[in-house]
Amino acid sequence: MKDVLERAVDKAMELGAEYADVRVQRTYSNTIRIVNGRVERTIPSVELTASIRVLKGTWGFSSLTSISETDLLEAVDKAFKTAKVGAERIPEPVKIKEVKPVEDKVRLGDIQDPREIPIEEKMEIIFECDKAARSIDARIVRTDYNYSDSVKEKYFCSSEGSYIEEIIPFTELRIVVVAREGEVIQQTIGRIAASAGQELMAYADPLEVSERLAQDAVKLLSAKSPPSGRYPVVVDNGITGLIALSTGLMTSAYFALMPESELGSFAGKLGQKVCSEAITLTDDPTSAGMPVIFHYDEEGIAAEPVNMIESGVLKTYIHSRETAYKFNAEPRGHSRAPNALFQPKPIVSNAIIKSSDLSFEELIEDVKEGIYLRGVVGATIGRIIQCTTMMGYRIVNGEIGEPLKGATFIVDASKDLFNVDAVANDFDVLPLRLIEGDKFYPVSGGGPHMKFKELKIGG
Amino acid sequence: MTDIFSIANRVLKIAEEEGADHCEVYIMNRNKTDYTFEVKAGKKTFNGISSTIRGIAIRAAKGGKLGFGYGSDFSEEALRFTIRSVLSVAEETQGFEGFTTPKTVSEVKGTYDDETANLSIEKAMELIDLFEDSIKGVNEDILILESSLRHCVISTVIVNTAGVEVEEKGTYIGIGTTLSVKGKEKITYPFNSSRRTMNSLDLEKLGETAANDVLRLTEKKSIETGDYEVILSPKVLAELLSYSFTTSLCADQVQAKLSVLEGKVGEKIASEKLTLYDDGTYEEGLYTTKFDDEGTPTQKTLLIEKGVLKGFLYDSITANIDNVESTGNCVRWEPPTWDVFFARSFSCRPRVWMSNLVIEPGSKKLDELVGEISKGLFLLNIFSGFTMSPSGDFNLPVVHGYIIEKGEITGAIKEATIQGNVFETLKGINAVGADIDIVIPDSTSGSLISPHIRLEKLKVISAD
Repeated sequence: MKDVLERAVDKAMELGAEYADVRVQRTYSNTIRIVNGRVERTIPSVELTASIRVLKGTWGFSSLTSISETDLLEAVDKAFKTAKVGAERIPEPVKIKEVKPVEDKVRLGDIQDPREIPIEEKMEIIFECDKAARSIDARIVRTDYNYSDSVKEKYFCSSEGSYIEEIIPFTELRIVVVAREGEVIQQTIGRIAASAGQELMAYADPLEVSERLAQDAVKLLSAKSPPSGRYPVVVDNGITGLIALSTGLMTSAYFALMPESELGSFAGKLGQKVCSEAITLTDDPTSAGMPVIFHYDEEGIAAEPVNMIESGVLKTYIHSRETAYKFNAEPRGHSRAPNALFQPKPIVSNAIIKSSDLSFEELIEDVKEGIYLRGVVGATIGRIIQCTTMMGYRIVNGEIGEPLKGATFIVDASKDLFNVDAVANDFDVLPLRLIEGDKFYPVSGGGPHMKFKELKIGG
Repeated sequence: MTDIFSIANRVLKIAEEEGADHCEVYIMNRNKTDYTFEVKAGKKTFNGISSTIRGIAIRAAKGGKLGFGYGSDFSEEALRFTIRSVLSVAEETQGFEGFTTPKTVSEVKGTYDDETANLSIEKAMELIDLFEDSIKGVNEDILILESSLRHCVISTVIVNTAGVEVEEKGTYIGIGTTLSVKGKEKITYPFNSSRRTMNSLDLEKLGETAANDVLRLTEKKSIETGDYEVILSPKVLAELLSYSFTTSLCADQVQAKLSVLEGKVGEKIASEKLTLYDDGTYEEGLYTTKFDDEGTPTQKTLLIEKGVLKGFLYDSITANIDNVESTGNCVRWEPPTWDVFFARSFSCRPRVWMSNLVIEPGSKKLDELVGEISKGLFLLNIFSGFTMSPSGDFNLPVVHGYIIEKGEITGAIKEATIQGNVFETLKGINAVGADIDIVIPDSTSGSLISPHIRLEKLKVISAD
């Protein structure tokens, strides 16, 4: 592998490039879908992706699904020509922050390779979960389990002499439970995931999650619709995670360079207060058990945790080499791409809001009339976060009251993030897929329960 | 294409050697180029991307059990490994009676053009200049924050052991921009348009439209919460129709008893102003193909006629279950796969889905639709509808829209959310425009070909 990748970057430099890198990713994956206790599909795949990135005044980028030398060298030509023509039409050449070259090979360590676990063993766990969920109540009419595991082999080679190989596993289980009574249909959704093999099942208890989803789905059948209007709102860990993710994306220097863009709100705000002081926000791609883990980012830089927001103050952006040059900052390994077909850019991996020492009971005790929201069904994020939740409860005089059907709420980042009153002492993380056009990144968001003085709920 | 056919036939041979009774091979090759100019920290930047993606999907059956697998490694070992895996995970599949048999593929027009396929970077730069000039020509205060041009060639080959051997090649080209206005930088307006060939993408007209839109969006005004008569742009309609509604039209959902439209064929489910087709043969449609993703010829399928539900969408497997013919709606897509032109991929297992949803145009010009409203709104763009629940309930923020008073646009909506249920909404259509636009939804496969439509009333919640 190394030889052919080196020949590709060498060719780019011979053509006159200032810098070039080539990335290859081979992904082995298996997905299993079990609906109502029946295997609905099992999909094996081996995907190969590669790309070459050339800097010549600006970036030229060419991606492909082949690593034959002929194809790679042709891609180098295309990328170089694109950069050259593009550079003539922009006022200022692109520069990148200097970094030290790295040679490293990162292996799986203690993690068991999912490819070595027989498929029957994987299915057994899901069958058990499915049985548990369906035995909760006769009104459970559908269960849908999507299990997938993958192993990514990643290769990075740059004209500066970096050569990195890293193997990363990822295992995910998504669960949908549907309850029905007459015309009323309600569904609940659960997700667990980790950059791990079968040990995922040790990080989270899929059986317990299944039972809880089934109980909630049944509870929702007779739940009332949530009210519309502005209320004090407490959100669960997953929703806090969603807000952490959205806020985390705004700390990307990539977006901060475009103040007008949807996620550009933090442009020019370094050192300033950008949200409530109850919020301290971290991105850490390196901690064990989290959904996203990598040792090196897509620009071959060693990843490390970064505190972007401390007590409401924006301390730093997360960077690529290009944005680090512009801000005169250090890139700390947060450049990401869905796979080798896409260009790297600074994107959070596990965005976490730090917990406090307040218990959940203490968090809600002063809420006279409010709403407690649980579970993310789906959301659109940006300056405005619009989220559909799985369910809710009324909070009456500091106590959890009757259950409510899923609600939609809207967070205006420029105002509502200042409205966070307090956070609790608990912690959980929600694996999510960040979808941006044709790109999707595995990400996660996490944190404690969080309380807003007031938030807009729509019916 | 010959080399692709020989690979495909080689796979059939390997499948036979591995003991498969039936096998189908789908190979897709996508060559895409994207040029983007973006203003970052006040300076124009450039990004150029080209990609060549080729992948293979295999369905194979043994002893009545059907399996699916895919990959992008075309080595003999990888192909054999994939077939073995596919056969080892094959499952009983209700309705599977073998792969599609050869039929004459549909005739389609305006789906391929050599010039679009072979567009050089120099020519692409000229087209971007032309587009930008047409925007600036409208008003010098307009700021172009981003402009992009992309084009794509997609080739598809399907062969199977029942004798199907078909191939197709299509082109796509699109332009996009994000605009603002000097002194009103908080307002940004994204605008995109895609077509099949260079000649059908009218850059000058598109530039003018985008520029005129953004100028009209600068006078933001608050509105009151309430029910309004509203005009929905084709783009807004695409977001409302492409999730819960489309899902409920797919035979697999109906058969699984998950569709709210189950058992309603022949019933009035929408306003009599609405006639809706799925048309995989629509001239120059973004999802127009000669055959669907399992080789069945595409067709025009009537779904709603004057408000009455006429039928559902089928692939070969769901058609066998209901003992009807496939409507040519086998589609290789699943969320979150998305593409600016053609959101289908070898990596997605075939299922039932829409191609081009077509709303039959009415007789009213857009001016008339606006002119007849005494107090209402005109929605240009809303948040993606993908968070919509299966019941069709929606609660979506308005991204851009106008305020209409006494038949005239008098300002732009400051902040609002629309609320309702898709199925109920369709009952309240009181006029259908005569214009046609081809748009794609933000988070799903398929396109909507539609005029502007007007709703008697829609609940709009003010965010103030």
